[in-house]
Amino acid sequence: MLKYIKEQLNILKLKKQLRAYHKIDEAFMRSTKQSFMELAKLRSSSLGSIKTYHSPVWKYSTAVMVVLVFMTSGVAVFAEKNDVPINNPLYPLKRLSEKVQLVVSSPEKKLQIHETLVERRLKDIAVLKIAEAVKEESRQEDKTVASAPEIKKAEVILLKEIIASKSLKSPKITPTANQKRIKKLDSDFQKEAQSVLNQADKLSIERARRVMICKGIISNINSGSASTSSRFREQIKARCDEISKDR
Amino acid sequence: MNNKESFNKDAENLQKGDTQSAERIFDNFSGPIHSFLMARVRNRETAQDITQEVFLKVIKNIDQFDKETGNFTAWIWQIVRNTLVDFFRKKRPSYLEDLPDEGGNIIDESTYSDSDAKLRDIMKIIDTFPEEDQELFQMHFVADMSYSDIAQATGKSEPALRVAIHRLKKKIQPKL
Repeated sequence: MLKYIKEQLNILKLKKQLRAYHKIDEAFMRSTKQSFMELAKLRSSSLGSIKTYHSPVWKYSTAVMVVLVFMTSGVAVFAEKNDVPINNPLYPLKRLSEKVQLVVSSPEKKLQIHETLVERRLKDIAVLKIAEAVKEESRQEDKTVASAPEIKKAEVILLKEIIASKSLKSPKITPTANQKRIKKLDSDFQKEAQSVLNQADKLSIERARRVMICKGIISNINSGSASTSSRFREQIKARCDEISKDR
Repeated sequence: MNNKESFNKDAENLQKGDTQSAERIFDNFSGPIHSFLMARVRNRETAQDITQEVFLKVIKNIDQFDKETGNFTAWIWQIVRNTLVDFFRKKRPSYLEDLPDEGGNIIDESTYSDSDAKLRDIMKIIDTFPEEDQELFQMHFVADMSYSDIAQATGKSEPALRVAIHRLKKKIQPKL
């Protein structure tokens, strides 16, 4: 036991001697630490940009974003060029593309675009009105079928299903929502019509052409697709009269 | 969180640019590494150069450390070993010429005592040990590393290390 304790003490003494023998130079350690910390700070400051640039997540998300932007813009241009109807899922993209075109076009081109948009809004209103009429017809048929006493209950259900499937093919818009959209499109139509006239004034184009534009708008209003208010009709008419008299 | 996890976390944070983690790593590893290197090369200036090189490599290569599969203690000690191997490969002939008295560079000759002479005798015995045992001796007796840290640095199990160090003690016991 005593021998073991003596051995352990000798070992401890040796460790102490060895540590003293290999004593660390504190000044060296301080300067090395300073250099190490400076390198770490340098790395830390340069890391932000490098990491961002090399991060795979960032690279992939950027690539996905670029692809999405290209696809969306491509589809939007497609929808705009093909003048997709209002019940088409691509319709919001068409409207977006129209807005972008108005922003990036020259004043002369803007006039043409506004003229096109007037016609398009009228077409949209017409499509929605047809859809509304189909819906109304379906509702009427439904009422008739339900009230016919000679038709059995099962047949009533079957007929209802057929009508329902028919109505699915028409735009999926509830009557109230449909009416709201018609109202909104009508407002858009009015804005576009005003924009056409404003743009024509702004450009100071020749009177004959302005008269032609005016006649076109009045003709569109009279075509009956738009449910424009009588006040708006009067406004446009008065403005067109002014243009006609203007020399 | 144990030591291994703690240093792995510090290494991960250093990869992200955290300087506080860098400081913790330096404070924990610099002492044992420098002592170990002094014992290995027996030259203060050379040990200082290698210590600086080791920490430079830590910063340069920290991105290569994989915290999921690796162990930072083992990783940094592998850098120490590799740097030492490079040093011996390049400098050995001149290094031996510079140090005829083995360790004279580390202590002031004017302060030599009997205990220093005894110590040098022990170091001569150590020099006869296989490379692996010398490394173990310097890690345990000079760098004062725990069994757990040596196990992580060398990749050996703690019981095996205890047995190996016990054998080393037995070998140097007659000189104590």
